[in-house]
Amino acid sequence: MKRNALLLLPILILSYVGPYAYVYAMTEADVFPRVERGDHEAIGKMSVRVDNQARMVIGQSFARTVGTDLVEWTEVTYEVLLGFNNRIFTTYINFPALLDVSKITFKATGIFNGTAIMTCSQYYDSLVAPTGFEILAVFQSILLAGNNTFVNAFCYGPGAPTVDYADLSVTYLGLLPITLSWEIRATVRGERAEETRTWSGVQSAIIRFR
Amino acid sequence: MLSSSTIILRLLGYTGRELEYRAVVAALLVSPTYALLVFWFTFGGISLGTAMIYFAMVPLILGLLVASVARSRGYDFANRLGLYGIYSLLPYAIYDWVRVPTNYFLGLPFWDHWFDWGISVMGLPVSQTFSYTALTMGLLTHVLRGWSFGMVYYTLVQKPTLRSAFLWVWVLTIFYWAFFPVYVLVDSRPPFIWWFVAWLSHMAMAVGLWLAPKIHQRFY
Repeated sequence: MKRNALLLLPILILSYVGPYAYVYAMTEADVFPRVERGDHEAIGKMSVRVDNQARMVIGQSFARTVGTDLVEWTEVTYEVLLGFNNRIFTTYINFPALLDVSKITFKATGIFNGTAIMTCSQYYDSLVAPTGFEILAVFQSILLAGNNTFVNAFCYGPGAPTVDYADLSVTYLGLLPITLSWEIRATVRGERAEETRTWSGVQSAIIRFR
Repeated sequence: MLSSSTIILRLLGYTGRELEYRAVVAALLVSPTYALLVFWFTFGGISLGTAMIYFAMVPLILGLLVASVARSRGYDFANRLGLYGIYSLLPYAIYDWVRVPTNYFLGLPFWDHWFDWGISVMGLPVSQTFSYTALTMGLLTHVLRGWSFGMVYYTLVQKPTLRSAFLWVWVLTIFYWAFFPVYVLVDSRPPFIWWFVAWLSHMAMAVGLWLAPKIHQRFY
């Protein structure tokens, strides 16, 4: 090897790795911060909604013997619709994507005349989202369908005689007014940033009897 | 009596079936691009990782086998594949160098799709797109493709010249102009500057193709 050729070596090595060093440096300094800013903005814009109607799904009777006594009670199951809105956001490369929503917990209490008549405590692993490996048409349909995602939450409460729905249904014409106090907690992720968000509210709602 | 094609090949300096061997080896060495095309044409149905194994790695191994046959038949180009491999490190690096100032001053990204390639290679979830793992794997596929374009050029030509280098990169430019707006920049219409930078970086690559052997001659 010629001696002066050795001087070329560092130049060559710099030539080989230079652009990629730049890529990593700019990714750290510019791309990731920009992606994270966009993510936080999108996560901030996402909203949730709890339907103001709880639907009575089923009333079940239970009985158990405690010692020599037979104890009977009834339990009612309700269904409440939860909405996760504005999940579509624009990515770093101006491409639409869905915010990833996972580890969702929903807790709520329905109060009628000062008495808690239903409580909800539900967990969802995650909402539907494209994997990114679908063909474009499928990706887009999942995207549009997922912008406002709805899921059912189940709530439970005592039935007769504590809450006599047969009687209340007549009095309130099948629509029982309640105050619904709720809290939703979820982990929301964009392209890079992730936040655990909590939404809560107190709203007037009705229980619709079957 | 020699056929006209044989006379042309002799005039170009190729002997016997040398050009055929060179063409087969070159067609197999360009396989990292086949992998990308499979990934694109199936709209990601075949992941880039899978495509890289079956449509890049297997042809690359076959390419080496064909080259060893060519070597046993006395075709000298097969002895120089290692050298071509070293030459080929420079042209794509110069190609990427041209994109650095256009990114810095004009904000034109040139590695955004490396993230997508990276998650496809690794089978990562979309939520992992903007990670260094995805970037690194995408970068490696990009580098492998750029390197293979150099290998193809040096395998095909008897002697690197600026004219043949420009001819080759014009082929690459047209390929790039035709496919990237459809499969990478989906749903967007690239501005003029995008086309210009694509052209300019390929032309710089041509200079790299021509320059690399000259630089390496200084070492011996």
